[in-house]
Amino acid sequence: MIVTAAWRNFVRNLKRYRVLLVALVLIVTALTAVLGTLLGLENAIREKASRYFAGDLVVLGFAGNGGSLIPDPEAVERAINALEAADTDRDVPLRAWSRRSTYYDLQNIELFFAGYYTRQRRLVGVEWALERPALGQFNFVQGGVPEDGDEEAILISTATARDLGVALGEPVLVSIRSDRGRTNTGEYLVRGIYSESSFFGYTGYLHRRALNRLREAEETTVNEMGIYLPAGTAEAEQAIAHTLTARIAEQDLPTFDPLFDRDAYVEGARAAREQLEYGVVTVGAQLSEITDLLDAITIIAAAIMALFLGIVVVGVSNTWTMVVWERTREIGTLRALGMQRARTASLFLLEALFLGVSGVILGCTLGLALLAGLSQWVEFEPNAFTTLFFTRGRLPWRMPFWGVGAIAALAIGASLFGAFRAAVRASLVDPVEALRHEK
Amino acid sequence: MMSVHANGAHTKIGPPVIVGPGASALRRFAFVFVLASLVAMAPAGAQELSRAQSRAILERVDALVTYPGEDFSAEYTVTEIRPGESPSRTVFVLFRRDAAASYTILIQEPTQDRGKGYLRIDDNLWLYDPVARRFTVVSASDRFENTGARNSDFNRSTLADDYRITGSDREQLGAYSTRVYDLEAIHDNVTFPIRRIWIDQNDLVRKVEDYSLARRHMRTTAIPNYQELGDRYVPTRIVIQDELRGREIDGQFRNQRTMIEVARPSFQEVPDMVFTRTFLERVGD
Repeated sequence: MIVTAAWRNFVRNLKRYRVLLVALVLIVTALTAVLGTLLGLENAIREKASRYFAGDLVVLGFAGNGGSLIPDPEAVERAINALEAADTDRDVPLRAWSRRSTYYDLQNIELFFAGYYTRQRRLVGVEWALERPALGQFNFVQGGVPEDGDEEAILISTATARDLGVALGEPVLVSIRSDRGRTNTGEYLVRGIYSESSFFGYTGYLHRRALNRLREAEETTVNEMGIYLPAGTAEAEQAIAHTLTARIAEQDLPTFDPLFDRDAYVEGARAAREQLEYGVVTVGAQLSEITDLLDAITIIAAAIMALFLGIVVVGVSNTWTMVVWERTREIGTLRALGMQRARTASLFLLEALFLGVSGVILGCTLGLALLAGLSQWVEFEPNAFTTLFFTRGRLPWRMPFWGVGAIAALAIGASLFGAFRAAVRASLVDPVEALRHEK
Repeated sequence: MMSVHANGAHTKIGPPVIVGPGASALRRFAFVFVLASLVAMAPAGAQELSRAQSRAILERVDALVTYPGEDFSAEYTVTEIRPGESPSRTVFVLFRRDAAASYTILIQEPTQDRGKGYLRIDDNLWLYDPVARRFTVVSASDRFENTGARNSDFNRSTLADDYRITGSDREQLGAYSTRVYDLEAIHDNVTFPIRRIWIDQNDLVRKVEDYSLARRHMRTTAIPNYQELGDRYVPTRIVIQDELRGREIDGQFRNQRTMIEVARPSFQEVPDMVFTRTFLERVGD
């Protein structure tokens, strides 16, 4: 009954609320666009980083020299399998897992083709069969993930291909300083060119055995093992890291606690140890410098949104004060007919709720349409930001249900908060005085 | 031949492409002895050379361009020629003390790099950046200022300590009748694990080919000019051809090249403090 009355009042007074509604729609649209963009950027950077760093969670073996070596990859593999198997505590369905050899040298990784050359930050030795589900997520502009066991193959980025002027199927020469410090070279065929021009793009992917030969390392050398988690499990990353560490310890391997931030990671790699110890590093730890940038953007955006919300609250409050004053006689009549104070207040709060819900529905729809349209039709010019966070110049975005829920709670909460004072005032109106009220 | 006095030393400047004989009678005798031994003991080629014989040959080559008794300094001009682009020039002063396996490089040009320097002491090499006022550890095998030269190219010649001869041949190289030696590194602290060197009749290196471990030809170095200073030789013109970098211009592939010219060589004593980090910091500031 009261809901119907509130709805009828809301519809009848829509003209009066239209400025407020527009403001609310705009704020919800902005909230949706900003949150969707930030979540999309974070998602995109995590996707790129997980391929770069061997997975969302990476198992490293630290001896204290700053590097990682996994002398017993079979035991770590058993731990990963145990993590994936049905478990009473946590059942983690993995997207893929990795067993990598890695080579990192800013000065000495050079690629040559037809006289052109470029440097790479990192060479990664992977097993195509194992990492196909993750590497398949690359935006390949030419080719794709090589056949299982293809040791002649190399995957390079569009940035590298552009520097070298090389195309699919052509041979590139890779020159490095081997683990023994000797200049070594290898020729590999370009089997895939993935779209990437940020620093993540200065990475070449070879077969693990091929990279180990180039490095003059044992063919079976493994430096890092990792797991790729399914989408949407980033929040559970730290809990899964603890579970994986426990599984590794069950294999009678010495372990250290999971590392969740960059400083702990760097310190952990160099900390003196009596023996080689295994541990888990999250992709978030390896990405903290970039996520710090995202956090800063989030804080600025949140501050601006809070300001807008404050303005909306003040607007709602003023409008409702006016509404209550204009409808004093109506309130008096309702009170004279027996409407209780609480129901009187509810009537106005319900109207504010309808205003909030309408704003959320329209604003979310507009915001999502804006994100989809930007992503679909607008290609951004390459610069330091877009090459790092965007995919092929397109805006990445993501809006989970909890995001919509949070925006709705904020917008409706602001509307109700703004109306609360006026609703309480309405409930306190004396019916006799109200009936004598003149506009 | 023309005689001049440079930095107090009696200097003979040779013609552009050939260096006159200047080795002492003793060294000449030693060389003939080694050659005779080779002919007598290894008629089938240098694969048969013992480690001692191999070392003796390379030591002789090293001795001509190594100055263990004196300090050496000179002005170097490194011109990088990238096909299709304007050449870039780096000028620096090199101070070398072979007895201590040290050198100091002070960059003079380009202006923006003035004050930048390298310091090598034994196997340690630092790069000093005057802007950041910071030393960075670099490797001897790294490219020098992104040119075709490597940091190790400015060190004393240590062929005998670093390589052994695995094969030999004879070849006419332009005006020079040369012996060609295939070298293989005997330890890992070298820039290139495999090399091929052309030695003229005066035991001067005239050409070097550098290879990767996988036997990929990486670069070729030609040394057409040496300056004779007493019984020592200073390479005054070095041309390095990068075998992997270049451009196709007018349908023809042109390699990237690095030309090194050495001017005003001197064997005057250099103060000890030149071979310190403090010196680079002071000069850089």
